[in-house]
Amino acid sequence: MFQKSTMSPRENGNEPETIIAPSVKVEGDFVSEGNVVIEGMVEGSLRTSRDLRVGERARISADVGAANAVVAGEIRGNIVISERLELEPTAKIYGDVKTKVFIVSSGASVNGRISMDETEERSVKSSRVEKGKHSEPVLEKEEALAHEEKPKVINTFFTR
Amino acid sequence: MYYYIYDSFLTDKKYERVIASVETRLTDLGISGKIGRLTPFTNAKGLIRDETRRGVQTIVVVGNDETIAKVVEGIGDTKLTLGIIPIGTPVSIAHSLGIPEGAEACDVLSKRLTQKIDLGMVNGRYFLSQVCFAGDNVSLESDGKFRLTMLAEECEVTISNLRSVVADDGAGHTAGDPMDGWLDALITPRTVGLKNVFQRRADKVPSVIPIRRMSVTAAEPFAVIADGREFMNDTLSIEVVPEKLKIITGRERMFA
Repeated sequence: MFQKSTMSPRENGNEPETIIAPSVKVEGDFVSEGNVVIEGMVEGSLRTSRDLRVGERARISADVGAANAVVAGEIRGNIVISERLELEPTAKIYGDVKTKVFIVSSGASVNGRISMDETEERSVKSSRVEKGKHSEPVLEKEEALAHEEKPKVINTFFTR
Repeated sequence: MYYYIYDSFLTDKKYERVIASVETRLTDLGISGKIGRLTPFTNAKGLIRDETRRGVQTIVVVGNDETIAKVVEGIGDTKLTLGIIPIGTPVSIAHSLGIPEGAEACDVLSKRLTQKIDLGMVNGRYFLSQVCFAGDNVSLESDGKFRLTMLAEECEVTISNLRSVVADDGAGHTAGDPMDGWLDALITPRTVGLKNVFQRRADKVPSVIPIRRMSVTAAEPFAVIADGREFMNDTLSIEVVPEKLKIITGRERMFA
């Protein structure tokens, strides 16, 4: 009776609860329970149980964990995303990536190991996704052979 | 049983008419009560303590944001309900709580929609709305887990409990929900003159960081404004006290 029936954008999860603007640097273990937008610098570790957006000018030197993430900036550290990771053309990743769904725009670069299965470790070696080229993930030869009995479609999409 | 605390500035002649209309409306609604006045020789804490012994359950602040700050400091450790009749300026706290100014506030009071909200505490003193200080040359540490460094030359830090709009970036970002068990640290770059004109819009966007506890240290004492009241200190210990205050709010409040 006393509660408002409509929820605010923030309560709906449409509005970020944490914004690290370009004028701020965070050092240490940053843990959040809401949506996080990073436009500044982060050093240490960064974890959220919800969505993460890393802006184009953001520089992160930290291990990163989130439910979903859209990355346009630079991350130096390992990334664990429980659902969906999207790399925009300006994204630069220096570290290992673990996610369920991986979307890479042309121009984005990943320098590390990519794992996309929770139970069976299936890795895709990807160096640089060249600008303008439509790239496909390449399974490491030995690992691909080891998993040949049950061929599986990797839940990966590449967009221009 | 209601107890009304009037601020000392309301003795000014220009408030005579609005006070008269408030008192008439309170009588019409059947919620008039005893009146206490803040003076240089009486503080809110003393008035509240005396009236609590007489069985008062609701304290109503009649005044502006600073009056509310004085009363919240005194009401913090009791189980009393707080009501507000905003008169004077600024009245941003009442606005966040959805309470209209003057006699219209009496109707909100009589409907008595109460909510338990969080309070903030800075160096042992309660605050309802926010604490502000300059972010230059201070060190911010949250819960001993992470440290914040300001990269802008000058910036302002606001630790907010009540909801307010924080960025004019068109996205209408807001911060400060007094029912979520968190305070929001807002760090806003401050630029003047030509630098302000040429600075990119993205650089002016404030950082919003939810915190439960924060320590602020500086080499020299710096000015702090808590709910409109200024003091100096070189160390601040700020924390949220969840569900501490029972308050009467209006339907137009800026939170759930």
